[in-house]
Amino acid sequence: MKKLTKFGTWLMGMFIVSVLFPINTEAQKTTKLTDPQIASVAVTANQIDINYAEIAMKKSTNKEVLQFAKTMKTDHASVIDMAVKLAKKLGVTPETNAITKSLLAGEVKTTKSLKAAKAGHDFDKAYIDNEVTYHEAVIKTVETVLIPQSQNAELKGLLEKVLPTLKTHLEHAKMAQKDIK
Amino acid sequence: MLLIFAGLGMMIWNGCKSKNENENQKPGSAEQTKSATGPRYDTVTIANMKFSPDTITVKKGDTLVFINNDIVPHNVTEKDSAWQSQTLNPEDIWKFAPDKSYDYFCSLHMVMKGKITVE
Repeated sequence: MKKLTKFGTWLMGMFIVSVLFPINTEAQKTTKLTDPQIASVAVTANQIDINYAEIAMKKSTNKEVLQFAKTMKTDHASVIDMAVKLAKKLGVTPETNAITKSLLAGEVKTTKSLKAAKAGHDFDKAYIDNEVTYHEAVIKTVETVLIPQSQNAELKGLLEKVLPTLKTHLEHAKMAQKDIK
Repeated sequence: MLLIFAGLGMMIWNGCKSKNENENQKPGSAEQTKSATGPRYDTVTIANMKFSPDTITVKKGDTLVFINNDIVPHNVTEKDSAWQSQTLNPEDIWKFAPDKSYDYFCSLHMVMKGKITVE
């Protein structure tokens, strides 16, 4: 019985970790990415946050949440625009890979829980909490995987340029998180 | 007579040119101008999600030139919303002559803050 309880605790722990850290850290460690794969991760990560923002813009009535979501939509669209222009210039076609798939799988779970959350405080908290977790995970991926592994100097430069924006989004989300307890 | 007209023409052309250059400054090219008599221009650059410098001291009548050299849009908003710039897209410029000291921030990224001190 004790063993079963321990297993249950471990299982619950693993579930929480998989929900909180949608980007598979093991995949990050072992996957060696090419530039087309890095471009795919960058575009997907930005598009996912735009999708979350669009849910928030439909579902929330909180002024702070709405402003944050609008900013996420605008900023991540700007980054996608830059990434697409650079990919065209370099003749790179984004290529789906393990991290892209991990990001998309995380999006499916998160979208489901955001849509299920009750509009009002429950939704606002779920959205902002996810924005904190998501930006933390994306920043880690950009710093430890995408920048070190990118071969093309312009692609590396773009990722380095994007990093302060992601870090500011994280600070902003944490600020909103304090207001929506 | 012809020389006088030619000289006058050159003076007018040069005058127009410098005015035009001033109004169409390329991002990053605006510099602080210190004139003993005329108004002074000071530049605040927005880059890497920061106002730089984030604190600036100017004289009354001087003009601040905000340049967005970042990859995303920003704005400049007084702490209590007494004034606000338009949304500054990348490479946009906004000029502002502060009449007194102000704290300001970017209302799109509320953690970005700055301070203007008017002497």
